[in-house]
Amino acid sequence: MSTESKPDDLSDVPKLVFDKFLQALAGANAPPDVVGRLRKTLLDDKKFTERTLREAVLPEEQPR
Amino acid sequence: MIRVDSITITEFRGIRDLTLNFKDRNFAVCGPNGTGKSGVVDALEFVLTGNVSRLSGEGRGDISLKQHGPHVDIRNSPGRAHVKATITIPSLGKTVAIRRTVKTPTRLQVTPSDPAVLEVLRQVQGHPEIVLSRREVIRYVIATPGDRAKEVQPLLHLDQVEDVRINLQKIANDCQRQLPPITSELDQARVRLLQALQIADLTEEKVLIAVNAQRVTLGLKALGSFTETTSFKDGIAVPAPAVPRRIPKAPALTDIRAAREALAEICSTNTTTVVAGAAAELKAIAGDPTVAACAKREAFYTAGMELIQTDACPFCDIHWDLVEIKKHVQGKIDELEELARKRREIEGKIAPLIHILANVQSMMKTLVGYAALATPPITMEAARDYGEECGRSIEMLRSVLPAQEALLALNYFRSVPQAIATFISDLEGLVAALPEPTKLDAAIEWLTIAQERFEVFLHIVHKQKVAVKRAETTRLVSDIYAATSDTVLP
Repeated sequence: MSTESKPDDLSDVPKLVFDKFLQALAGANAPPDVVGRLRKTLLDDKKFTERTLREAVLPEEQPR
Repeated sequence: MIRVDSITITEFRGIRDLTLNFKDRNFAVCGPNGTGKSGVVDALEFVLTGNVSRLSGEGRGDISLKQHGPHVDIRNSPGRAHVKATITIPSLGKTVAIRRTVKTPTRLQVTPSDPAVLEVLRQVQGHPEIVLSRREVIRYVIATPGDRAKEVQPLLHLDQVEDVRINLQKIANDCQRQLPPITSELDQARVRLLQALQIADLTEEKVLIAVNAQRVTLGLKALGSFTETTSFKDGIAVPAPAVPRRIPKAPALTDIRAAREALAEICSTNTTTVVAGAAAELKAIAGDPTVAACAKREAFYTAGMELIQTDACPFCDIHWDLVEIKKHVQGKIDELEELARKRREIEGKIAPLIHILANVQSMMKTLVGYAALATPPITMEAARDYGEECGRSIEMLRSVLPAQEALLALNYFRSVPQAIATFISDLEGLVAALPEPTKLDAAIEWLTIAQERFEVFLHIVHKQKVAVKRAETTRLVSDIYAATSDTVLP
């Protein structure tokens, strides 16, 4: 079965979505520093709050 | 994906010695309370992940895996408490034996062991959702078919995917909302610059013609181009600080006319219609006590949502159901979203009124500046207060809520105080009576004011560029995220 031949594909749905999102973002000529910070926030730190995402997308903005 | 073929539980939780052979089929455990049903589930979770959710995490007080994992009769010998399992990994075509003891829960013994097998087991270990609590199972079983997909979302951590979508969208919307006030500010700065330059359009050709006409009067070299670094005053000697500034007659008279036009807008028929529409909308929400209560709680809920990261309250450590509490708070925020939508509608109606007030505020500031140079002095407190009050009204209208305050700000559009009309007439009379400046002085005054307004204009242009860039970036991020998650999770 295809699900058995590719066991990794659905093993971590958020990671799958975040990976594809970051690839699409980089392909859409988003600023590389924004892509890098989002990668750290979503995949390494696994922080999904508005504050952490705001810091990743708008690092120059003071925390609200 | 893996399949558990059998499990052997020794001195673990309430179980002394038990082997279960699942025979590649669905398996159910049933029995009275306290007979160890949950112990089987705990053992399965333990051998696969090295953890027992029910014995770990915040809010569990003194309960620990090492203390409460072993059977009660061997509590001081965690090395004897262990779980073995035989599992099949279909993708690798392999069957392996795994074993873990409570004494060293992070060490998994795997036979036979190879990198591919270890990688599969590592992935399994990273997904404790393989063990569902009784509440989670019941919630899924009793859900209606239509809601089942929704119920399974937290089990797959799809709530994280949704959290990111909501937050990115909110950030993008916030940045978008910051644009109109800056655009309004830029429009005013452009108008003020055009007034100083006495031209109708801000084109390089027209600016250079106007500026160079003044520079020629002063015997200065004509400017060949008009860029951000252009100085209209290039070549003019800086006046000594001791020389008092005079009211520049011609620009002051132009500004007085512009101020009268700005004030006339406050009570124009068109403005009165817009004010009536905005007042009706504001009265509708001002009379709704729910709106007022929700508005006060908006920041509280948002901050609270960020604190819901673990399965216990960060204030009192009382255990809570992470999914349920997030859903509960999200429901509150969704209620506020309706309020936010209404607020955006009203903001759109109020925007032209803010523009009018901002224009009046700017003109009052300019006229007060002229009045400060007047000899003999003229009373300008009323104009200064009026300008400041105008600024406060702008803030109240921009906030929209509390609606009662925004309604008060609309009172500003009823009439212009007589004291302001008097101030402007006094200033106009004084300026008109000033002796005509020499051609040279008039040209210097003209270029000085034009340069000041040009610099203000450039500053706001820069501010707008930054805001537009931020709005574009956040919108791009939000849109791509929404499209990607829709594609991955159709």
